[in-house]
Amino acid sequence: MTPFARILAAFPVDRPFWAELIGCSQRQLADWQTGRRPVPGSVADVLAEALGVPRDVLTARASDVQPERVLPPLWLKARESRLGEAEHRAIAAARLLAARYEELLAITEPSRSDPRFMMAEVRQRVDPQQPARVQGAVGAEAFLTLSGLGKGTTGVGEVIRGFLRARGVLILETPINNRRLEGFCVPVGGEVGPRPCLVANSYRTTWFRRNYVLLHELAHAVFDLDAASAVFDVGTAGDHDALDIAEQRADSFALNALVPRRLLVAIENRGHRLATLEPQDLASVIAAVHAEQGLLARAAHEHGLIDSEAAMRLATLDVARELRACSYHARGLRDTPADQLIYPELLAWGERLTTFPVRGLRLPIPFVRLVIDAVGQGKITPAKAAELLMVDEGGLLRYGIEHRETEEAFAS
Amino acid sequence: MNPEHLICDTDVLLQLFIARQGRLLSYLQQAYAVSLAIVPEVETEVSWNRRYRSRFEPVLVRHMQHGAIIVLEAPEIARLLRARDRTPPQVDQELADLHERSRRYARHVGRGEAYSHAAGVALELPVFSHDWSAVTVLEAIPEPVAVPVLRVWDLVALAFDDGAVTVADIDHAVNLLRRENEVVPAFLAKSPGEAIRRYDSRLRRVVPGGTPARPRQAKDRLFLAPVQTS
Repeated sequence: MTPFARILAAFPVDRPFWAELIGCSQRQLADWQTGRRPVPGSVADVLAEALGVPRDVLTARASDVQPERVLPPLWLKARESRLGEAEHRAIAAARLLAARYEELLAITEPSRSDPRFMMAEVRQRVDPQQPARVQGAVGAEAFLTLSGLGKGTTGVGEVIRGFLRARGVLILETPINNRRLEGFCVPVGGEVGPRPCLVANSYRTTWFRRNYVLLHELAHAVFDLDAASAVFDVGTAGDHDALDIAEQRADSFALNALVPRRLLVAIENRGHRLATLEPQDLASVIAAVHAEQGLLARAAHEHGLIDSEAAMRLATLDVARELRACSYHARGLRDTPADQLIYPELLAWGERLTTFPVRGLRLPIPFVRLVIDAVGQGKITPAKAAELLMVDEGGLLRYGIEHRETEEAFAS
Repeated sequence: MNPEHLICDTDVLLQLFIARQGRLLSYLQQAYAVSLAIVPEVETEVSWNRRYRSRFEPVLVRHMQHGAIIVLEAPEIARLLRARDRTPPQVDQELADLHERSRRYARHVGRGEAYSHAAGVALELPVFSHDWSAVTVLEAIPEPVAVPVLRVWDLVALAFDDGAVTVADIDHAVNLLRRENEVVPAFLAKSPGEAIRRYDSRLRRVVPGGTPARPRQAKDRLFLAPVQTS
């Protein structure tokens, strides 16, 4: 068995997925697995990006490679977390997308911030001797202060993505066809060193929920990533006391960063009595706070603003209709009028799902914009854009990119 | 002296297959002792294609098995480098350099184009490619590109001049390409068979007694000397 075959066999996924990920035929994959043909460097590069395995191992001819010795700890952690085939596929595909994002940023924005400085500052302000929930709350306050996001009395959900991306953190919100895995946090390689990539599962989740998930993953990036190499958040039944220290800290960080006490106090000062909110007003508060209903109720209770009975009532009021009426985040981009969008071209892009070779990944809006800009600036070709956007024939037109290179080849 | 290989990118190879002109590859070997070569990345793109999926994989495999298409895997590249008087340490270094160059190019242009141009530069071999934007983008960086850059119709024109392809063959090829919505250049819009006579091909047969200049730019001409028959 070749090292290439041994590495692939260590994952609980079938051969068609590897062919899909690499973008090759089954025949070629079989040739490389059996050692009939050498593994091309470009294939080793793709798998090295997706799996984190050194490329030299994948192209080696020696047969004594032990996957456990070369697989990054994140995959062992995935095994420990009992993640199944769908999650393994999603992690590999998301890592590949993150690598493409990183590659694109390297040629379009070569002088980017290093997020590790910001994260180290947050970490320094937290006393590790404190209980986990206190660490999370202190970390959240430090993050809001250092970032400047905590000054206002409005939610941070609409600015958090842009802020983190500007600090060099990669953010992916993409459907993972399984609700169990809410998100994960992995380091992705960069020319200036690894940077954290926060992934939020957008499969049947709301924008409000993903705000929490992203901040939760950010907490893992700040506190846990160096030691753990990867952190997976598998949904729990809502028993927040049963979580381990890292999870409690991340939960507290996300809750306090997204719904700090002063934000709820400001809302009460504007005349909204949290304990007695009716659906219409509760929807307005959710729209202003950018947090999902359950988290809002839990935060109000943890901050001592309402009792447990009121929290239960707030968490279970039916506000779906009212929320859709007062927040376009609850309606989704498709139902938002073009004149209310910062980038109206988003509507033409559709779901931004990849089609070739990997199907079904949702591309981040800033990533798509970077690709389009890079084509416009002559930094990449339309063919490269098709690779980055992972679209099949015709998919580029949806993004306003035209293939005219063949006509140009005969232009003179 | 003719190059050992003409490196071929995905779009050109697919057009050859769609136009059912794969026989031109054997013609090139027999008449000029030149083989068509592809990098493994092009083999991958043709075998599992974003437009045609696996439709052309059997055709490609058949040509590879018959030796009409050579895959430029590391052993073949090493052989070509040794034939250029490189020592074993130089061969190893140049293979590593080639991979690094390929990766660099692939940040800006499609994988097939990137690896084809990089191989063309390293081995000083011409490239068949219809992706002119790859040339523009790479030259703007600036990075060298393979020279010259040939088009599928350059090969057809050479075979036409040699009498290996007829006007009817060309009309048929154009029809097949149009049927698949493949791009056919404007000059072939009317009377393709006649248009090819006036086509300014970049691939020509050496005039007897002539000593053509070596191509140095992407748009230069490549002159091939026919195999001497006794």
